[in-house]
Amino acid sequence: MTANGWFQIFLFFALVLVCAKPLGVYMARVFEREKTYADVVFRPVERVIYRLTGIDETHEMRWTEYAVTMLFFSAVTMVMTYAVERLQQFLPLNPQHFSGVTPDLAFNTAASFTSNTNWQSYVPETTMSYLTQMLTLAYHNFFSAAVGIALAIALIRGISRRESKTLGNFWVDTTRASLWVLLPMSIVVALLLVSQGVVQNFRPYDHARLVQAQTVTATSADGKSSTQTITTQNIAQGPVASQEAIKMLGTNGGGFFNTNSAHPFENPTPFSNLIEMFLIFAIPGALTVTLGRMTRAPKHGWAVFAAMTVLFFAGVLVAYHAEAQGNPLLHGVNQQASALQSGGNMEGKEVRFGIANSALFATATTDASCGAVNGVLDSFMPLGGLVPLVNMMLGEVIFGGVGAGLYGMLIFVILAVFIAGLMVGRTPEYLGKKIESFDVKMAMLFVLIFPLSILGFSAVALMMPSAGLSALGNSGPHGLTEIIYAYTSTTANNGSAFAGLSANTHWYNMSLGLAMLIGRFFMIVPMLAIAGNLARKKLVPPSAGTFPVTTPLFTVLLVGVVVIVGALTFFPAVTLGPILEHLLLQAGKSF
Amino acid sequence: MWDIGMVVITVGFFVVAWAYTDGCGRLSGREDK
Repeated sequence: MTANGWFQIFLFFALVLVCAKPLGVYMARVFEREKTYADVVFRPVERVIYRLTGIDETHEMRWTEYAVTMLFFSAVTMVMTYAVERLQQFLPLNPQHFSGVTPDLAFNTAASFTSNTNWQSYVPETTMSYLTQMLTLAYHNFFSAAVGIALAIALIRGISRRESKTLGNFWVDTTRASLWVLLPMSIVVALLLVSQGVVQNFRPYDHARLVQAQTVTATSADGKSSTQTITTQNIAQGPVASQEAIKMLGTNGGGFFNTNSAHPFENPTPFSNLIEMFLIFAIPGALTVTLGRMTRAPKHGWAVFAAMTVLFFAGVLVAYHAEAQGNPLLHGVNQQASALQSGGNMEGKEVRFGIANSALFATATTDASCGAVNGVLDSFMPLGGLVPLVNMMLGEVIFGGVGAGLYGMLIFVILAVFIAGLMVGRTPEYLGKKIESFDVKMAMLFVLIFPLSILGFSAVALMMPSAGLSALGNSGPHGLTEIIYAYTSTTANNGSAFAGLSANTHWYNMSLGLAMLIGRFFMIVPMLAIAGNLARKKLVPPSAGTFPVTTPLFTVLLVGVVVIVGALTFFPAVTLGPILEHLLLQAGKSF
Repeated sequence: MWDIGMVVITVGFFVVAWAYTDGCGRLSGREDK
């Protein structure tokens, strides 16, 4: 580890910290319908949208109506995405003349982008037309993120409202999240990215003649090998910058190109890399301030922010340390950082980013539900790869996805105050609301669905040699990690791939697609049920038995609950995967 | 045929999610009483 590396990590976090308050206050004003400077531009547009769509912005929804509306919206847009993917060969903006996406892959991709996962079992630049990328995938980048923000706001309203039956209006919240927050920020960021060299065009792919022809031997599925001489290289183009901005800002993560943010057209410079990492945490960090402001308990918002910060730095410390140490199997190779080399384990990493920015990107993208990558996680050291996996297993509550991270963390807050209440023998309270049996039942449903999907699907895949194991690129604990990572990433709606798993098969497309839908919608429903139940409650004045949720003790308890719940649930799985691989690597064995 | 299957699975999932929402809503109402 180097001082320069840590400087860049702290610079990144300082940006997040500095922007949290202004952006958080702005979002609170937007969702509480207070005046903002942007009203002059967006309010007339918003009114036109409501007039055209027939939405009554004064209509308030109960939690069940809010949930069913969200499900209906998601179902319709998912089917439309599926249709566009299947029919893209008949639609415009397809200069490469790509054929329709296969049915199981189209299902997987539609589920992926609808659920804000952006898992990609395909190579985008050889599969998706420009229209498919812009009309359906970029559309979901905006609206799945907007839905996440709307849901977090609904939960905050549940906490802050008293004796109310309603949580707001789903259509209004989603519209305001898109129009007031995501759209203007994306435009500014897209222009910034273009300034760094990210491409934005509709041109057919360029063809460059190679200076030196390459001879490639390929083996087909039936075992026949053929030799081909390659003299030209296709250089993919497209409307990248506009999608890159919302890809990071909306914690979507689905790359325009297969190599995602490692591609020089998606992430060309260290500055663009800093912008992209900052965007991952920008809205999730600010939402804690929004929480504090809307609940009239700003210190509580900062206490939640502090818990996320502790968990973030723990992850980045382990990942950076593991990658900076290098590979013990490379005996006699100088792996020390110096003026001439990055040092450490540079396999699968971009030289322009180095160890610190690769470890930081991997940590941030899995703390949040982003899933973009600027290096190959499969090539990380076992403990370096453990960090992204554990970040997701903790429920992606370390800043987390836009909205999803905050509502996930607030479920852990409810469990933390419940445990604190048990310790002192009092009915637990949270910001003046009594936490009762229904709230805890729903919180446990939220917590248990997550491992049920990950471990259940992983177990089935591991028991099927032809469908599950044959897709693996590695054996032993590394192979186990590849399968568990895939189901963790999809259930957590992260979307990053560990690589090494050929997931474009019927089994993986279908099972990973279902894991994404379960991980998104089956967890949202109990969260909204808690929100609806909290909104109806009376405010209880604080007493001597009230556990304060604004103190460092609360932050420590919250961190403890997050870690213990994650550790208890997934410790056996990570022991057999990356931890065992680390121990075997020290003994000289790799997979 | 595949397309019909995929749409049935998608719509089926959301119908189950709707029933699940309804179940949580009923549980919420029952615990109120």
